[in-house]
Amino acid sequence: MKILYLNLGGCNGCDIELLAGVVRVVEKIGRELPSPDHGIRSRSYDITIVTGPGTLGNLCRIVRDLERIGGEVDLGHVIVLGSCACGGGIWYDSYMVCGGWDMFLRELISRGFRIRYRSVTYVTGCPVRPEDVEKVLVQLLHSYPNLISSLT
Amino acid sequence: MYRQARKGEKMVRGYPVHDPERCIGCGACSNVCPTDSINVDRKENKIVWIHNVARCIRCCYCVDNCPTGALSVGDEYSMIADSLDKLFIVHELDSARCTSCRDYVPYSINVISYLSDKALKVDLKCERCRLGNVLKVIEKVRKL
Repeated sequence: MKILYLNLGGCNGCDIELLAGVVRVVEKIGRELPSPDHGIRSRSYDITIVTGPGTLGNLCRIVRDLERIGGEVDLGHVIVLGSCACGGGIWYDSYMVCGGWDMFLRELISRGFRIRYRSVTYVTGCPVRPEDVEKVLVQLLHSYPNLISSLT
Repeated sequence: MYRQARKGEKMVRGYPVHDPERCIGCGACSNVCPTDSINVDRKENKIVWIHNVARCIRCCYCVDNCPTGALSVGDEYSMIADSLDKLFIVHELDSARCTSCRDYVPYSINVISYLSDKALKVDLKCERCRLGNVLKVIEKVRKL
């Protein structure tokens, strides 16, 4: 199982809660999750976790990554964490911010990249609660058993 | 809100809960919201209160600034959905009418009971009627 973790300019509040949630998931399913990629290094992923409002600096970074792998990526199941990533948060009208994951994706698609994903889950809160992260991840892993079986 | 927190009544500060039977549609919540997640749209005969929970940061400034107590701190913090459209809370309120010309005023019908509770003897009038009275007075002064 390949996990992509994108911090698109967040304050690290959601990231700390994500760590707490992942610890709970590991306790629940009894297997270790693989360490995630922090940038797009591969052409297909199973789970993508997004935090942060999507700054233009991070847009440049993701564009560079996508150009390196050929402009085509499958993100799998996308989990969008926090009010910043869902709708922009308090930076919704800031001049260097795309304004959430949807707008960030629109910016990437308008630059000609082919991005596919299977499902999106929006988890709101500022920051998100570890219970919510646990609930979403465990639900995802149980509804797709081949994800768990690929874990060692 | 802070008084509630100090008493220990609420351990989790959830997203604000809106009571459409007490809201007068003044728009104080939307003016004070730091993320502009609350919007009060004034249509012709109704007022639409829209809350975008996806953008809400649970600061509850709206609860502090609500004059009627229509907003309260909720117990539920988390809201999970698979599309952004499901993260909107929309309430429609009927607009009140002007007492003299029966035109719509930019407040909901709850404003009548709110004013009577406060024992304020204010006639609910639209902007045109209020300005009309002022213009009549000005004309009288001019004639003198």
